[in-house]
Amino acid sequence: MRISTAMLLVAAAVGSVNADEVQDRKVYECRYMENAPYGVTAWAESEMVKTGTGKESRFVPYNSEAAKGLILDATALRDVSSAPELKGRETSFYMVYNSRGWYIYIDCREPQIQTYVDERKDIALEIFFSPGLERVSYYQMIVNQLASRVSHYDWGMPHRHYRSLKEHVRIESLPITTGFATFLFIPWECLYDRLPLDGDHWRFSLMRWGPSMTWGGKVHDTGNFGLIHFQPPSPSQRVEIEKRILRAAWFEFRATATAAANFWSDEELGDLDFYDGALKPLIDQYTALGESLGEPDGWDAETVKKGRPVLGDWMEFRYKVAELRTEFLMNKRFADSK
Amino acid sequence: MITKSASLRLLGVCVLSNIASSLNAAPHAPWGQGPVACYEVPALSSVVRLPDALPTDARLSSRLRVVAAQGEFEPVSFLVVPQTDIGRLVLKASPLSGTGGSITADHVDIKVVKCWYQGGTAWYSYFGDSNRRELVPELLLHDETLVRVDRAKKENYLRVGGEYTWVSYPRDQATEAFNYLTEPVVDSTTLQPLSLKKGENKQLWVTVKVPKTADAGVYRGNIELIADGKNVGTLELAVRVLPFELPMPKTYYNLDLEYLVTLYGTGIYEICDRLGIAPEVADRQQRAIYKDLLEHNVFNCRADLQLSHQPDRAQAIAALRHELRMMKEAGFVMKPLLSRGWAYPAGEKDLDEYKARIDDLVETLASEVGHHDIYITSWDEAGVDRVKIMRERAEYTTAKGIKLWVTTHPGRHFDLAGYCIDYANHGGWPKRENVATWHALGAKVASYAGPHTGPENPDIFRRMEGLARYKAYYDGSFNYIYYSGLHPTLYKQQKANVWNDFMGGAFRPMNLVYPTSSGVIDTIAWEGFREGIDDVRYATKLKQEAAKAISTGKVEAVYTAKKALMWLELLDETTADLNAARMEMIEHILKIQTAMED
Repeated sequence: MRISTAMLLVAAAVGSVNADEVQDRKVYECRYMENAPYGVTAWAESEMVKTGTGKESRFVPYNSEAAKGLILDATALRDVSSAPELKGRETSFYMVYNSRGWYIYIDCREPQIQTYVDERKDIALEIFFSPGLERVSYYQMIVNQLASRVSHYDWGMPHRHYRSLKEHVRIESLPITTGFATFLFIPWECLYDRLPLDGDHWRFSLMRWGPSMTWGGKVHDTGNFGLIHFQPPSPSQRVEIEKRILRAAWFEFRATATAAANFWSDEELGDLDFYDGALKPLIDQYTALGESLGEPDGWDAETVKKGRPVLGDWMEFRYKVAELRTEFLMNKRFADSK
Repeated sequence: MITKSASLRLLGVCVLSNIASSLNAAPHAPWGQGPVACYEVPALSSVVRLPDALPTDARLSSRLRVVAAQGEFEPVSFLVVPQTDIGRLVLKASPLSGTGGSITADHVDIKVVKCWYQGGTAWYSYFGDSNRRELVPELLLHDETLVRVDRAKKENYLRVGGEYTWVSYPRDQATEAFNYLTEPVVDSTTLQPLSLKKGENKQLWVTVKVPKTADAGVYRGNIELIADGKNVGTLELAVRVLPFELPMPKTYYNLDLEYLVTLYGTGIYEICDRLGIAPEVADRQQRAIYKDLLEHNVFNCRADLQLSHQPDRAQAIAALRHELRMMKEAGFVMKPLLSRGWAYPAGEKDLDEYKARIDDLVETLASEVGHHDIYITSWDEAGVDRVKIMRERAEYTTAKGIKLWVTTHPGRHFDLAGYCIDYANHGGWPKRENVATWHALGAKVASYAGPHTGPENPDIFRRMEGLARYKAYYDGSFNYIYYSGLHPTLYKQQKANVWNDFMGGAFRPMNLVYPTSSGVIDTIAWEGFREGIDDVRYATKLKQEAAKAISTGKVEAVYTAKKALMWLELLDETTADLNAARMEMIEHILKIQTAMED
């Protein structure tokens, strides 16, 4: 579906985004779909793709001067020299989300697909998004469709509030009869602290190299990217998402806490003072809280509310342990000098 | 449902309107209902600390604690959160005293972290994004009024002499290049009074320079806060001086090999010459830069002058000799010597001219440093054709007994010219697999652009210049660039201003520091760089102590050492909390030392 001006206005009104951010931007409406297709084949055969429902194809040629400058990018190799005709080489994408995550399907039409396969010629997709508009890191991936290779560029440093997508995102690329197609699934667990539950807008752009085209702006040019507007979930859909996240956090905590306890309580390699005095009490406290919530299958909106205060510590328990350990060792360094 | 305020907490901040209530909720808080409260925060962190948000890692505190080795610079940081407007807040550090003696107050340097507008990707990336403006913390200033920020218009102004100059203009409004070598941009040498507005906190950055001669032990002093003439609180500053100095960094894979720390763009003589700067002025500024580099662990400065493209060879040789002598005088490691000397045709008509230039270069470098452990470079980021020319010309430099360092890329340099490259500066994020191929040929490997300088996040440089590169078996750090200086030949057309992030283009100014006529202005990213190399030096110390312990043959010492080595190898340096990793390295070093004493 192409996005009309009227829809743009609706999107601006629904979300909390500043109107200046939406003006002159492409906005794609990402709908909630509980049974979203998974994988290239499922998407290629889906009703959405067959009927063009939700199709976004407003790509424009990448600025050729800017493309030449990309040779100076020492970290990413792009083939910006080959410039076949745009005609017949439409690029489009579709997106939906649900309680599990964000689904993206990219369709690159290529009339010479068999030649590409025979001669091992590749098409690269460069994908950028930032889960929010301000004060938020952005993610970059380059997908080589024929090689089915993905390069992740982590512009944030791993810490409590940023994690690489590398271990989480699922990407599949396949040659299909009309060209190449790529499917991405980004589970909410890796973006749990950025969930778009309030009609949020996220920055997004997609470049195709061969021929060179873009959905919005140049590489890293977040100010000119398009926007994804996430249709607000219904109350029950929201609870479903938050339940899944809380469940993931609880089991992440349990696994990490077990590993941490095993290490720090080890009589040879651990530190019993630290374990007994700092770590174990916290693990016990968080475990008791989790167990008081009952069986995860029975969790509801009330459970979500109760679990929310510890969600971050559960999900990031390894960083919590590191913080405890830093404090413990700092105290130790000053212990004999009151 | 996750509310907006809950979402903000998840992002690591809470809005300032909640601060007062958090103070009320903490009846034993040391700051009570006073006009300011102080929150300790980790100095080195990926969390963006902004005036209108209190990060979740901020802890209400009346003390700051620092653990540092003898001779080390170590930062600690806190936020001043005003409960009312304060026209003039003075912060005053006392001397530190302890059983080991005292450390004078001039070893405690306090700066304010200045937030200003930069491009949309500024915290994260060196790529340009000048269509968006975000407030980010970056500059470390003694005088916060050096830069004035208009929050309503999202503009920055720099005080040049007595007047403020707009430095956030778009490219089409650039009239000329900004000559940072002569323009009167001067920060104070000590912290000046701060002006505070209710609802806007400020981050302070305290760097403790522990004297090399300080005895191990705890030293205590304080930082007094005086608001509009009245004492409104005191922070205790406690420094644990460790019983050792940090060694020079060695590689992770071989304790006998130096870990080389170098940056591009540290020499200013060429641009000074182009701009007609007086030699004594150039020397003064170069000395200030060299001092800054050494204080930030850049021990292997590159000699930036070269003999190619110079009309007067004798003059060029004299200039190169002078640069080398200045480097020696400053105290850089001169063996091996890294030089920008150019092992590539530079317009010479024939090979004889090329050889004559290389002869002069080698004679000049070797006679000044007294050895031939010298690396010179060739074409930067060369494509296949140029790699083939490079390898052909390298034959002569190899025959002269010197070596070649070049920027390299996968599938090109190793595959075509691996046999003649001795030091590969590999483009991209550090990975062990990038290193293995070069080490198979006995070559050294560093990396750059993983990422380039430019992002403001200090944690990027701490991690990527530090343990991430070190543990991936690299031989050094060789990143681009100290700051984006004026181009010696294109500066008139480019009309660049190192202070302006909004000139468009694919890349932002890549600044670890901002050059001024009297030296450089520090940034939190540059402090991250220092801490990254300090992490490598702590790891080196751990490995050196472990090697000593293992050589004793005493079971307890050997086991303690090997447990430390196990820990270091198992540490996931790409994701670990580096503040915790630092404390753990110290713990292991002290344990090994104790085990050897027993």
